[in-house]
Amino acid sequence: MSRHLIINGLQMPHPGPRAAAYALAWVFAVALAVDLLWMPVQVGDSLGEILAARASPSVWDSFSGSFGAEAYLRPFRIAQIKGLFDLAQGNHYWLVYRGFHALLIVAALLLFIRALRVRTVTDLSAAACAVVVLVGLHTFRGVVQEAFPINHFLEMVVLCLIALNLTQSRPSPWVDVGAVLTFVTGALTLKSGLLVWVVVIAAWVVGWRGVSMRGLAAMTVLVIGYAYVRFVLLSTGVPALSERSSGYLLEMLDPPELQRRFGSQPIWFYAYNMAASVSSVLFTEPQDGVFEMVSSWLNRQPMWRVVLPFATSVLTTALLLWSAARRLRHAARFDDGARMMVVFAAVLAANATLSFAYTKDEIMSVAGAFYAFAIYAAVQDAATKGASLRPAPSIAFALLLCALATGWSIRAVGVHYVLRSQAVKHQIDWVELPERWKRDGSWPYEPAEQQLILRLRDDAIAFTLPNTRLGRPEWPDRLWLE
Amino acid sequence: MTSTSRFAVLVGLPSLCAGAIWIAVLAVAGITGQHPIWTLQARNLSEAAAFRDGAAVVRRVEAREDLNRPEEVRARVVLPTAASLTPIEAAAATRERGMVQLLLDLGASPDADVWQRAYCISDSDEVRDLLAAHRPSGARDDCAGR
Repeated sequence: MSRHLIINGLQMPHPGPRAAAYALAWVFAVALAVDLLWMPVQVGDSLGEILAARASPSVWDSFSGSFGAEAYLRPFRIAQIKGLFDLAQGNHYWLVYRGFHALLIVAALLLFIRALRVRTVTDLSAAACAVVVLVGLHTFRGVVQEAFPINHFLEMVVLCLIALNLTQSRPSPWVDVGAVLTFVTGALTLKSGLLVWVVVIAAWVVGWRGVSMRGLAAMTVLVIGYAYVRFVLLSTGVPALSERSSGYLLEMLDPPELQRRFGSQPIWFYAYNMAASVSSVLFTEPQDGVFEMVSSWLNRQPMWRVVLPFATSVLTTALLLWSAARRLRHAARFDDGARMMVVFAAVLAANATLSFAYTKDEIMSVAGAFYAFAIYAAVQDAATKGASLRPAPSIAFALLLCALATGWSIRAVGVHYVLRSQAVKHQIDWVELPERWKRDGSWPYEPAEQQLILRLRDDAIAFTLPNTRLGRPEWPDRLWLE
Repeated sequence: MTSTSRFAVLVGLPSLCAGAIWIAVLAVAGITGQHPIWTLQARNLSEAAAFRDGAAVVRRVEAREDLNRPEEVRARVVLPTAASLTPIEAAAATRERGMVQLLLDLGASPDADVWQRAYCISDSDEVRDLLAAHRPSGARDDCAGR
């Protein structure tokens, strides 16, 4: 039974749980944002992009120049990096790039909570569980651990959450325009941006029709246009086996090995990648295509840090399946909870399909976020069912769920450990970079480029970071995988 | 509060605690300047090298600390007992080539005695090879008795 206010005879939802849910989102958002701001801009996969942005005359040149220049269609990605570079005005690179990352994380958390539509205390508790599932899931690490220098996977999560929120809103032409713009931004940033379309379609099918049929049609035309531009006009094709390493069963395979094993029959490798991606979201194994738990056991690595994520994921997915089956068995009303589960299933399938070429946890970050939505619905269900049981089973069920939530909470706070360790790694890279490049003959000749690198290095060295490498307690390393 | 709500609060409580703990850790680190989990902080340039904290080394060198002056490194950081070590000796004791290279890049110039102690304190071939490439005149790589 929800708490309500009676105003002029009308029963209004009590603002308390909703406000508390936003407060909780802010707590996690601020914690994550502080951790992100306490981190230098990274070197790998980032410095090259920043140097390219410096060399580009304008945002438009960056945008237009990327068409056909690589095996992907990502002009907005390059344009954004250039846009933020210009915003830094030759000085505030860390603030601009890390600040943007922090803003994205805040937006993701707030959009996530908004889409849950919390109304009651039960909703609030389910939302609290959903937030730790969102942050604790290993796919989430990919959206905070690195930035290139923008984390585009996090952008995809934010755009898909914007799309979901739009579908839940009251229909209007502006909502349609917003949805179309969201799709265009996503699709021209990463191919995962196509998931915006999947979210809107799935939401429309289940009854969230804030985006009208007209908006849906416009987005569908754009999807066809995207396919035409990418595969016909620019002939960029799909990523080849020779492009990057990928996990397979218990090991990472480099491109020559991938070519040797699957060159003649890549379909098996693609099927493995899709199955691994689905399993990764539902059971946290494999990670990046590698079965970490088996690998850790064989290599006598600490087991808690792989067993805890696996166990919590298995139990949570079981809870989700129980809730879905219960709804089907009792022909329950097709409410928001059921909608979230269906949309999650659609996003999971689409996201896994998009990552057919290689497995990478961060690619599945959108499905990971929508998994947390489905868990929200399952926990709501569990709380309602659990409270209706006789006292002893009810207490046992509550303790089981409480233990599960505790497990997820431990996973969530592990992100702090991961980010502290990552910050130290980025800093070490910067400390060593100039002299290493000079020895390798990679040091740029142009004084402006040298100044830019030294500026970024000075920013990185200025951070006083906790020493996570020496004299550290051992328990974080046993509990959390870096 | 209904029984459903009571049940739900119990289930949601761990998540609330997780958020509170995370914020508390950040607040303590922000206010005291020391992280509650990773508390070890270098007290001088030699300790910074011993802690393999390259950024702290660079910051201290930029603050004009002497790269060749011996300072105390606490017990059990690189040696079982506290010892007075130059930064290059401390770095060599960590067996980390990168830290020794950083100090040399920053201008460390060990004399023959310091060089020999650094060479002998490290049993890493990588570190010894690097030091051998920067051997001052008169320095010996004889570690017998050391």
